[in-house]
Amino acid sequence: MSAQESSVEPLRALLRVENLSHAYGRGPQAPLILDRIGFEVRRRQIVSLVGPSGCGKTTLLYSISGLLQPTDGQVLLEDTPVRGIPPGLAMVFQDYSRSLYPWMSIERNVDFPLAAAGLARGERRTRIDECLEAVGLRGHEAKYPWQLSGGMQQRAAIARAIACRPDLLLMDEPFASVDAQTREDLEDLVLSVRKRFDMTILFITHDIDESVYLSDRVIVLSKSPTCVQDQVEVRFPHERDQIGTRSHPEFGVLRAHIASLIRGAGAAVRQTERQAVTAGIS
Amino acid sequence: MSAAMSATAATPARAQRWHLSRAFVTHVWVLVVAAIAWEAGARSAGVFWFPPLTTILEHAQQLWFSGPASSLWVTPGFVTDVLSSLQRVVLGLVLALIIGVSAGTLIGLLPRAGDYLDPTLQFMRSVPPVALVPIFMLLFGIGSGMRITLIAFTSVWPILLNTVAGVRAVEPLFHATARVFHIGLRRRLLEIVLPASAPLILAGLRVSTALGLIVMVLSEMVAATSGIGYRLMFEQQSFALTNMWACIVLLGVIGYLLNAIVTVIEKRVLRWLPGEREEKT
Repeated sequence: MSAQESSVEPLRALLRVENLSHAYGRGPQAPLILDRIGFEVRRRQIVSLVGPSGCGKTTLLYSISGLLQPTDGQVLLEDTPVRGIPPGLAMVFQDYSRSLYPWMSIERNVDFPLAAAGLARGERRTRIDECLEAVGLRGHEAKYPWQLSGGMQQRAAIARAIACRPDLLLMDEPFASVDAQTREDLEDLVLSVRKRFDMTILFITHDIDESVYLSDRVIVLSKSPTCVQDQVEVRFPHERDQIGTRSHPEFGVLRAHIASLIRGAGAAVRQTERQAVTAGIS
Repeated sequence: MSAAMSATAATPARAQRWHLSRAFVTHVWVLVVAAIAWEAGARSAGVFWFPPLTTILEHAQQLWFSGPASSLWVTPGFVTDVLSSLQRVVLGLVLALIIGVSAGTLIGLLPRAGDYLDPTLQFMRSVPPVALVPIFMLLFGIGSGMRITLIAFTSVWPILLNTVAGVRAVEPLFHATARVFHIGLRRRLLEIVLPASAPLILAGLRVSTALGLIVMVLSEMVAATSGIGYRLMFEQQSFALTNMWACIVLLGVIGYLLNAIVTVIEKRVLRWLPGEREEKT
């Protein structure tokens, strides 16, 4: 009986996106950005959204986080429709330099949402220490963000997000503006944070390797108007490592599959552009 | 040898302080030369309306700093001339800061309010304060209250307009982050909007301080019985020109000190800005 329950439990979706559409503006002429997007994220999963550049990934993430009201469709968090910004959600933005508050020390940046939530001082202290330790920023508490490197600032943003103990962590191309070595370190940090805090993460990226390396499932998006092209299950165990996992034959198969989908989407754009240019010349 | 060693052993902070004090020493000689030139020029000219600096300073000492030790060496004249003036300008500036920042924040946050109000605000700030003295005398009498109001009314504009600009320029991602993390309105105002606009607000305060000092003197030249502006006119009309010069020098010193105070506040409030603080490495 209990075995049956535990096999059923992980199938329940924490996040369900149903028929999500978004157009900028109103009326039939308004350009459609998102076209009936639907997918699920289950507890303790890392799911990546990957797609060609300019495919409306950020619009999608903003719709899920409630920062943007989608034109149609709905987002359910634990079977409750999301209206406005739901509690139990935290976000790591791509641009850490404009998301961390520059007048607050690293510690204060992490503490700020906790204080706003009205947590007791002792609880805040524990969480700050624990989360800064988890991202490897102990000893940098009193520094201002500009005194840290880009990678370290993004670590601070991650600490701030996980200190809120969110049900769902949204990450919007968080490592797009750090160097390759730092990027690998931060990817492993995401995996260790998921394990340590039982995190559910929805991760947006344009990097195919990154999406395969991190995820349990990769959702491949099309060019704009964006729809879901394919959902690719990644069947590696949760323990991954930068060299072993990436050189696994299955890794190559997955990345080739996703790349062909995305390049196909991109190639279609380029073809129409080329046709338009040729038409302009002749 | 030992000098070279101590130089390499100096911490960056100490080196920087040393650099600053050296800069002060290497630049301040210009002021010293100007003072000596004044002294020499005045002595050789020998005209009563252009007294030497040392004579002016002697008179200033007589007027304001020759009191008994029980009153901290200041004279009753210091209280009626200098302290009443300082009180007016400081109160006026504090009022301007409170009103300018609150109104500016409100206008900056309301969408389009700035667009509607901007022509009116620009018009009101453009009226020369001198022209307002008669109407302010009718409205607020001839007491200190009128002078403080006039100082506040003149100095409020740079602070208010800069606050509006600062609040409207707050990085949208700062707001988005605050919304995602469910930060309440009070914290958003006090801990995000205000610090983010602080650099512009303080730039406004610097301009306002200079304006406030001008209007302080100006307001005290009309129907006053105290203040440096009053003393200046009184001494001029009594042909006590050296005393009049003492007032002018004192005003220069007060202006310099007020500006220095604003700089200290700026350094303290904006210590988070890159480059404002030495790296702790």
